[in-house]
Amino acid sequence: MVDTLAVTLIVGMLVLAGLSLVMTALDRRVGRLLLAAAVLGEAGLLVQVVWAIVRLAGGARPDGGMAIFIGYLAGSLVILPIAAAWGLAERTRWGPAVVAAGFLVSAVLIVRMQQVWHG
Amino acid sequence: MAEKTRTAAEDRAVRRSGPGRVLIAVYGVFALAAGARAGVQIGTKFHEAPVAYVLSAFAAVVYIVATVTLARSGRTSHRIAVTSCSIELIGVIAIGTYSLTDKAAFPDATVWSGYGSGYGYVPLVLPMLGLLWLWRTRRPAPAADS
Repeated sequence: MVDTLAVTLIVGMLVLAGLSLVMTALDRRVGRLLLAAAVLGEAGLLVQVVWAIVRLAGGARPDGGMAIFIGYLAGSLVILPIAAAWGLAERTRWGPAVVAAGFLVSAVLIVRMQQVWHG
Repeated sequence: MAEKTRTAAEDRAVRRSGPGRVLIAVYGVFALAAGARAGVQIGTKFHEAPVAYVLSAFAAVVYIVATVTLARSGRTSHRIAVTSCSIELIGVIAIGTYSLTDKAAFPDATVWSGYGSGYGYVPLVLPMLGLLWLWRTRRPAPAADS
């Protein structure tokens, strides 16, 4: 995997998690801003998936195991939509907190993908 | 007011709303992660560390049960949720201590090894928050009824 992309994504996810937690602190609900943030995060994860597919098609293989890597790759795409939907359904300050959890989990998944890729 | 018994719907609304929703979300992630990990471990290299992998699977089942019962309404779900969170807390403390004193017994990590250090100690904190939340949303709950 390209490490710069992963690092950028991890930092981005942490920033967006921070933004979500600020919304919780300010007693805000999930609105357009956080939905846009979730879309942005999901777009970043999609870029990573496309990049991974390109690398895999080029013959590169994750050291930690193909099945596990694919599992993480697929899993990384479902977290933010679920978190956003759940956060949107909760019409209190805890909605943004659910979205924050989604961003944090996404960051952890990217770290794990790095570990699996490098073995 | 203290005599008021909540309906099942109200009970569910209380337990799965607010902080409860965040809790259930994180529990769901752990149920998924622990389950997937145990599945891969048992499916691909069970002979390497059978005890650790069976334990992983057991932990995964407890997380799944906790996630479902936290999200569901009713006294029975509440009781099962309390039981699962307690098993998790005891498990993470017992296995955490055991894994540090007898490293040979755990050649491969479980979610509970080293008090959940491989998972940012979330496995240690999660059951505590779960029990705290279940305590706060118990019936009758004066704080929630007012």
